[in-house]
Amino acid sequence: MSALRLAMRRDPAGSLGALLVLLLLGFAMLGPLVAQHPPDAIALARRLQPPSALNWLGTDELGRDVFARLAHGAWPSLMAALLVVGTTVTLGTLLGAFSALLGGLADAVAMRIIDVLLAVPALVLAMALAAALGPSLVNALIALVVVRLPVFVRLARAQALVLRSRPFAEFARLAGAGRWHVLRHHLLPNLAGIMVVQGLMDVAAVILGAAALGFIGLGAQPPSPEWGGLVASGRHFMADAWWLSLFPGLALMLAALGFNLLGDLVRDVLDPRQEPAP
Amino acid sequence: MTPLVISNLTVCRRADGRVLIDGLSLSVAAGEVVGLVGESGSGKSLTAMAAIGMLPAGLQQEAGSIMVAGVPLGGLATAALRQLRQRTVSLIFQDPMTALCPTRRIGAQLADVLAVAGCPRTDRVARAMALLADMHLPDPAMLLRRYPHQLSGGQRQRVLIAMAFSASPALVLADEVTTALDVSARAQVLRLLVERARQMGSGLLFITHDLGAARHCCDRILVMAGGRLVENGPAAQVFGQPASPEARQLLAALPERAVPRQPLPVGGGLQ
Amino acid sequence: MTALLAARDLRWQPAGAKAPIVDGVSLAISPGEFVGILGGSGCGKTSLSRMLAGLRRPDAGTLAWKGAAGSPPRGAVSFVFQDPFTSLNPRKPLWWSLTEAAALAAPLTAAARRSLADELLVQVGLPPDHATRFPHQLSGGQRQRIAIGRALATQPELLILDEPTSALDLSVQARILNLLLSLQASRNIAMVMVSHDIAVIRHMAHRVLVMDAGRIVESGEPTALLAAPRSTAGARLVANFLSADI
Repeated sequence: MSALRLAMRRDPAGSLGALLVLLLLGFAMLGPLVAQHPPDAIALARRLQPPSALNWLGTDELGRDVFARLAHGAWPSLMAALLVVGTTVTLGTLLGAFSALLGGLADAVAMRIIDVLLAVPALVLAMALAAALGPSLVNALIALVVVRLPVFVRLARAQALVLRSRPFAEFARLAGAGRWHVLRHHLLPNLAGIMVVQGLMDVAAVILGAAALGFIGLGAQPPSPEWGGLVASGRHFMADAWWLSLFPGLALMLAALGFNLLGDLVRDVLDPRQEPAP
Repeated sequence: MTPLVISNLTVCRRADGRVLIDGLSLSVAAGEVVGLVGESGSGKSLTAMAAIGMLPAGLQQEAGSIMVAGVPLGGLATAALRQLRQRTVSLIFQDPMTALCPTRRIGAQLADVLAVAGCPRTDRVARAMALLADMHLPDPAMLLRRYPHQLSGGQRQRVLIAMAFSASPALVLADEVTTALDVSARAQVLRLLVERARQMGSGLLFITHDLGAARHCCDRILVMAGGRLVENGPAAQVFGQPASPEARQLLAALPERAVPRQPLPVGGGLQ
Repeated sequence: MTALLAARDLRWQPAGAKAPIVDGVSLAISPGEFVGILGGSGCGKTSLSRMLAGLRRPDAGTLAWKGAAGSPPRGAVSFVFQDPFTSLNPRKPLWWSLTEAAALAAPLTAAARRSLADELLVQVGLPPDHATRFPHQLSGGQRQRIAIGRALATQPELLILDEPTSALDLSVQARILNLLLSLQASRNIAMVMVSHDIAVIRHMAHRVLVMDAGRIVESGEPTALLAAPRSTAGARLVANFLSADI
């Protein structure tokens, strides 16, 4: 843990990121407990009220409490994003490393498939996939994994190609190591850091992607208070009720910022070469 | 005006107060080639950075003064310092590939340097070609249209030397300029560097850990060890009868002086 | 005496290259011998050394080990790379890197690996408490010692070294060269060292081969050969070498 403390001291921006992420997780867990109203209690008499003591962040077009909706939406939004990112990082690392290690036809075929996936705009592809699978949160997440995966495979493959020709991997092959040994000991441990960092950088994009799918009705279904959906539905009332989009938007922005900065911090902690020489 | 006079320079690390350069005094006369040699961590590169007022962050000049062409660096405003770096001091680095911008033609990069040196726009191409010809580079007109990756390591380093001398600087600092080069390019680049410095009357501080290179091109050799100057004298004297134990130790490690296949005399301790 | 490793007419030309990098090289290395390969950059000396180690398959030509045609048995030939900063896996403790080759050759318990690592550390002149350190905690010279220790783990009879000291300080180079000499004396390991540094080769080698454009253009006893090279490539190397001892 001393490595973590050292990084904290040397990297205040990264520490801010870690703090933001912790605050978000705290909010996701504790927010629903402190909220004064249920997230889906409709009160048409109190619709579009500005922030007040009764409704801390105001109410929406159906009189629902924005704070309550934000708090109840935090957990599903964050967990969905982390699930998608965790899956893409793991799958991407393995596929990329295998592709680099096998080379030849398998590698060529895999890369052409990746090229095709990358050629189609991510959101269009996600929409097509989500629509084909049927509108639900799980299907939206599967679609997001598929569209985010190519970038991770590409990155892992490029890194693995470099690592494979490093002297330590060459020495292992000279000593009779098979592909599995090289993959397990020389590629994966050295890939882990950069892939996790890249994954953390991607969390915000995935939250936004899930929001986009939710907005067109292919993600979490209303009245589920998912953050992207909150921004989207507040859009119509932007002129008179700024609080509807502002607070969920702010939450998304802080999440994006937090995970990005955390990514930097994690890179410093995971990279042993960044430590000062003894 | 003496190109470089450093007196009693002491540089510390701010975090823990560790002394990295300890009371260093040296001077480089006009037209003189001075070799600054020592092992990694001896403080030789740091000395060069101090001489152009570019100490890395976290380091602090504790004492001493640095005069470049008669101008004291201490208390110089940023603009004046920048002007000094543009007109009076040049720096040549170890790796000629990273010192040049990979996406721009040699000609454009030379023109930039000439513009900074105050060369009028209309004269720049002619001046650039003359500079490259001075470096004995073949077909300067064609070279101007080339990109750095199309040149060999030795050619790139010669282009950098041409750039370094374009403003007729009083002082040139060359930090390990031959280390990254092939053996045959090394000798040629060294010869051109020294020839150019003597022609222009610039003082040349040649920083290297390659004792052979220093021996061949320098009028005077300075040896640094542990942040201190331990030896200062003509090359023949320093290599012939070194006065300090540190210099003797350094020279003892040279394989060219040893009996073949007999252990080289090295001090205790493990590296 | 049968040669330890004999190479006949090795050739290698990478796809798209205009000329072969290694163009018909034959050589034989005796047990316990130290062979230096000298040449400028691009002469093919590194490619040749990789072929001898089995790191690169030649397009044509054969290897023979102790008179029998074919590649050497696994572990009999080992390799030390030029750059001490990329030659060790940054994520593995030193004991792991030191004993990797031995563990690949025969299954070893964790305890056996640790004791082998301690033994290897002593052999290369490092204290055993370094076993649990990581490469980034070591200096360049220390890393190169680990690279040599790692190469010794399988008890090789031939060690191939690609410019092992060119990235190191002079005093560190001297210590590494001394280590190699003592290993030759104590274990009679044959060594092939690729270098562009005439002084190092003259100091270390029993026999020097001068390479140019993929061929061996000259060979002989180092001191005599370098005093009066007969080939133009050899003469060029000597003329361009900046000795600190004029």
